[in-house]
Amino acid sequence: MTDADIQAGLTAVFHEVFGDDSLVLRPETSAETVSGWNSIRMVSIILATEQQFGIRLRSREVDKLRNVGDLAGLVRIKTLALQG
Amino acid sequence: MPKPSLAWLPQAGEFNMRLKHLQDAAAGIPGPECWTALVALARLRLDFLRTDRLDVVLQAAFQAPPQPSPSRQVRLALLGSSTTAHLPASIRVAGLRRNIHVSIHEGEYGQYLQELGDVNSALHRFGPDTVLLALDARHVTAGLAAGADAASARQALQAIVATMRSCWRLAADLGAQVIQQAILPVLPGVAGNNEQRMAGSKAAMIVRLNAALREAADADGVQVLAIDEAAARDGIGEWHDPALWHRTRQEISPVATPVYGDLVGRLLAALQGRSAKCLVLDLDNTLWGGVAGDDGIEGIELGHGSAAGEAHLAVQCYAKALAERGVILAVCSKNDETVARAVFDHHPEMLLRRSDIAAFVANWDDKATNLQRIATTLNIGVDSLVLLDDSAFERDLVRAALPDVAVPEVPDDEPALMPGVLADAGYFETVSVTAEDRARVAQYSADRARIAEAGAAADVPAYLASLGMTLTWRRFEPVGLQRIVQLVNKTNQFNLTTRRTTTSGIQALIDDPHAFGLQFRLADRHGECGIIAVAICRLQGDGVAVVENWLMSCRVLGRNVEQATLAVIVAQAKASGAQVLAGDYIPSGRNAMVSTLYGRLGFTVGTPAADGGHRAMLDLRDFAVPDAAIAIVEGA
Repeated sequence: MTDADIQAGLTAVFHEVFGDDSLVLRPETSAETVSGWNSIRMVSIILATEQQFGIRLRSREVDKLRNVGDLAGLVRIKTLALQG
Repeated sequence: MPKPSLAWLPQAGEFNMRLKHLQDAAAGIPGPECWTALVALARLRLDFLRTDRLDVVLQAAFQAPPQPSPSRQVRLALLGSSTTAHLPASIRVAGLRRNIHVSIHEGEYGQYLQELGDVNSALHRFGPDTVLLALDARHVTAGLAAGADAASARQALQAIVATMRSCWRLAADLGAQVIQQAILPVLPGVAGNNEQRMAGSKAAMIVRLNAALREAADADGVQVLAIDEAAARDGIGEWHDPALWHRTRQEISPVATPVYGDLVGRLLAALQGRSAKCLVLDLDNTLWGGVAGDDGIEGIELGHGSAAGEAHLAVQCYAKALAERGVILAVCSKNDETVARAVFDHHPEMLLRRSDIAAFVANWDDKATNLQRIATTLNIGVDSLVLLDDSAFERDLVRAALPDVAVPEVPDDEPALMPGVLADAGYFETVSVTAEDRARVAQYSADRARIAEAGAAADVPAYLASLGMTLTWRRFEPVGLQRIVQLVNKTNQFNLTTRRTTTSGIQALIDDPHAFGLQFRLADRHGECGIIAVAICRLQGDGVAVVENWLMSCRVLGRNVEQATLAVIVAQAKASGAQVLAGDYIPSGRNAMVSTLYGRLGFTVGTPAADGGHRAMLDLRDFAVPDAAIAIVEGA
């Protein structure tokens, strides 16, 4: 899975979760920069990301996330582990 | 299919596009059409994200119910002991699915007792007509110490039941109907198989509490929301994710919210008397396996002896149980009425009797029209009907023509799963079971064995056009010969002459320059139906082509395939030098449905013979290709 695949997958996730197809994701995009990104939405993002990539995210891993760049990095490691 | 899922609803194809379109259309003053379009989206198999998206559009367009309101609106207060912010969307959408507008007041986290007791609270100002009390497992077991003895465990249980009952009374004082959510058994046991022996076990307390609160609810006229049973079916791990509990105090996983909302929605509908009232059953491959008209009473699969026969019997058994509870049963089948009735009267394994069926419709009209007749006869709305049918074609036709009829999907069309699907979908939710319910069957059955022929036709042509049907024909050839022989020898109902054949008979025909055989396949957007019709013509010296055999599978009836088939026969007869097409109808006792076929197709019908048969003639110069919604293609 390439970085572009991950970016596209996460974009689809955020569009579904926020119901906004114009949302553009950047590595620094975070709860501070997107309106409506509260803890409940965070749960939706986790669940939708797990579904999208067929992975499981642990509480500890989710707790460390600061922004979309961190999430993309976590997805990259998890999907690599799937292939490995 | 991953659970929990609204598995009985059809797949949500093109959801995002349809929602976007509605969003734009709803920008003005949303009217009844907008509401109806939103209802249609709510009736798709939505996951939690799509449920949320639909709710956003619903909320923007309909803060207040549409005028005129299609049903009584509901003002529901959701009072919880933990996070409930993710639940209202699914409840509103489940209401929408049933044409009910739901406004929701969400209580402050964990403040349910204070809000109920304080006459100045936001809850009192909201003025709910329904109160949903959603208490979580950790909250209700908080008073139980791990080392408690039996007496103090009993005391803890009684205390929490007493708290619930005082909440119910306060809510009733507000004039509200109360719904008490059962406790989700999310806490791990500490003893094992015999958990009940451990007085201080929270897991065991939840089991006891769920029994106790049901007893109290029955006594106090409170409705139970049985999420404990739903979670037992789907798996508790699908309903509750401990990691999410620790993160946000969501006891119910967002993944389960569409089903959660639907469980609430069906209670709201039942409280308004808007649950479905009548289960309409298809016959062939639903109540029994096989096609009665072709396989005969002896040939259908029903009852002990085969797994499929047992599965179909189980469908009947479940339908019978529903009937005993007050659900009306009806039959709607594409069949010869005499054939269909004969199975009920003479098959030894039939569990359902004619007296169980309040409206019995077996004919060759489209099912949407027949369902309207059934509703009229029983004097109920079409929104009170549920159709159980194994055919994806019939299901889609009815959904398109009569969107208010509930038509469950059946996974892989597996009859063994039909009872479970009906139960999961909760169409017949009831809040009370009365003696009157049980007597209803008899009441509806009286004098209603036959349905009047009257009835408005649904918009079938439009639906057929939307199917994108293609009829592919080719001459007989050695490949596929077995299937031709089988179809010729097995088809009884749509069969003009019922002349049987053999492999060598068909082989001889392929080599005969004065005859031609045609095979037809049908495909539509649901997929390929395979070879569905066969015609055999013999050329006489005088420019007359005689149709010796013409037969068609009953699966494709009601789709104007016979017109398209005739167009191919005519073209091939012309190409062979014929000027006139002659066809015979020979009665066999089972092919009454084609007794008037030639006349309907524009043939001149001759004088009937002694056996009731006739010869019909068509001047090929007079034949105009009909304007059917079927593309005709010669197979490669």
